[in-house]
Amino acid sequence: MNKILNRNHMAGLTITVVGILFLIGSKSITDPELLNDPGPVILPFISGVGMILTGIIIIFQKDQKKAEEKYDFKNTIALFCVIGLYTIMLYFLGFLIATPVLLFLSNMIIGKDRKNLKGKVIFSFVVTAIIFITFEKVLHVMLPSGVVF
Amino acid sequence: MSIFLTALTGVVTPLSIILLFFGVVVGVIFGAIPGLTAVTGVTLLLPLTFGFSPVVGMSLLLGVWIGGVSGGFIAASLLGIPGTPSAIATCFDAYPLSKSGKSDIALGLGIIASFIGTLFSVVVAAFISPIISKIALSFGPWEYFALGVTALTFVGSLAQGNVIKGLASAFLGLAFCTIGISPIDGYPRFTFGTVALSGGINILALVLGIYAIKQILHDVAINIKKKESVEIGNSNFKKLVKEFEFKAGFVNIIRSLSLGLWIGFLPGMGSGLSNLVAYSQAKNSSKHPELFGKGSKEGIIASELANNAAVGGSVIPMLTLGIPGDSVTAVLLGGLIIHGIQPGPLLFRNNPTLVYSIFILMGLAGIITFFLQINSIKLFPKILKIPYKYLYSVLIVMSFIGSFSSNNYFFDCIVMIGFAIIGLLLEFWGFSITPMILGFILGPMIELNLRRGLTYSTTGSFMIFLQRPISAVLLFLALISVVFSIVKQRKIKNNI
Repeated sequence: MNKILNRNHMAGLTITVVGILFLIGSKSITDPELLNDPGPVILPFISGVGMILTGIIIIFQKDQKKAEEKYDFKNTIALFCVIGLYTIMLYFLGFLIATPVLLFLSNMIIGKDRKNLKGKVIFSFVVTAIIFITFEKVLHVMLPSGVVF
Repeated sequence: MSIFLTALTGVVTPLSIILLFFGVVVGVIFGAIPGLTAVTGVTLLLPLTFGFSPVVGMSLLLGVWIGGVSGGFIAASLLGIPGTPSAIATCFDAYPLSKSGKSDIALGLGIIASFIGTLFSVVVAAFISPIISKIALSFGPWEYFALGVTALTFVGSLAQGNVIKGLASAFLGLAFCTIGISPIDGYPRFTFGTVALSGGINILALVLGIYAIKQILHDVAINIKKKESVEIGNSNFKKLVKEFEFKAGFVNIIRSLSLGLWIGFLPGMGSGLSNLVAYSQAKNSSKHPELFGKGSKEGIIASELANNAAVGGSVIPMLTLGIPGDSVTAVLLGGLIIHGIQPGPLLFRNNPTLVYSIFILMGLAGIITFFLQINSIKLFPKILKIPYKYLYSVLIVMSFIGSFSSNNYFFDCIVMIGFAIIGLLLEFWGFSITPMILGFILGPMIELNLRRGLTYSTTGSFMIFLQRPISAVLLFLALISVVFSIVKQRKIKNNI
């Protein structure tokens, strides 16, 4: 797949498809009422056309060979999943329950170590408490309380 | 003068000064640590300002910005890695100088140059901005449309990377800004009948996704690691000032300041480019170009003067025209709008006190940064030792708080994650992200003025934009910048 579709092909295709979607979406936008005003369709139309044109050019551009990069996909995906889990927990259970879980798990993934679990747990709870007090009590910035509670 | 004094009394309050100091500390830390930048710091702390007045809120954000731009040289000098893109050129000579046992001189030159650059550019900006805003008041919708388009094409075509990808990124930003209610007639676009999308995309969620979450995921993906820092020798301030060689390096100083100010003024450029341009000019004009790359003091001074001078330069179009000069001013612009303030020429007429407050705060931030850095040089290696696992975990939480708290709307957190994914994909595919951000911010202004301009035309023809001299010149410049960049890129490709 990588030999058939290089980065520029994928990028160009994606941009072109997004442009087409915006063009299709702009079809449902109403006509203007003011004389000579092109109406609310103008910018979606221009953006759509611009993306299609540039996307097509990018497809035919030569892909610049980058130096061999080694990506740690495993840890990145793991961290992304943890962030996703945090989002769900934050929505349903609220800040005080979700945040220590995120801090603990992300600490392990980013640090790539499973040592000193006790220290990580303490860090997670202490930091959650500090952030909660600072934002809710001192700055009066509301934090998610969770739909369940 | 009375406006200046009123602004001064408004700024010099305990809360403003404390937040300014706190902002500078956070900014220096963010600037020093590779992987974090001033824009990330400003974005993360923006939600903290919601409960404050605009002046107090800006004191925090401006402190972070100026501290962040200045702090970039710390990692450049001690690790050989630029803390921020504004310190890339500083690396070339500051690190070799540090490794030769003169880390105190490398750091000291960076501190002094940062201070001079910031102060110079703020003073110039304070004098020039009222003049530009008076000129801008005579602009009609045609000129504003042309300004927006020119700014966007400059960013798309002159920023680093592939020109076509830069333009594609700009169009993507324009497309995203159409989600929500249209200007003039209030027509819902791409909302799919949902309340969530009726308000459009939250700018804070977008920038947090792009600059915070995406950056953290990117750094984990590339396995960013801590490097051992060079030790710092003893030095005193008088010796550092002597090393700066004000007389001998006068031409270099003036040239670097001017370059930084001008490049900062041009949309999409900023300190990331100014330090490189000033460095290369210093090398070309130096009596000893062979010393560059081996610990040349001229190189360090040129880079740090220019990147800090770009700060004042980029604030000029932000305040006078409502057009951000770079990514940080794009976020600051968003911050001002969230506080109910619309930057542009009318800001000088309706709220001159705020404008001068911003200049005063920037000057004070420069002074605080200078004294903080001079007195805490020995602490710099400790800043660089903060483990990423703790730092990034906390930053993820702060990003979620930031996205949620601007509207108390959970949907914005999902928007933030969506843009983190978009940012990762764009970066992986070699796109520059700044054009997308600017397209998103400038899109409403471009659309509003395009539609207004066309309603004045008797035939609804676009020719009306070319019949106005300023508008025609700007649009011509926009075209030239694209053509020039494409030609230049082809030449580079053919020479490889």
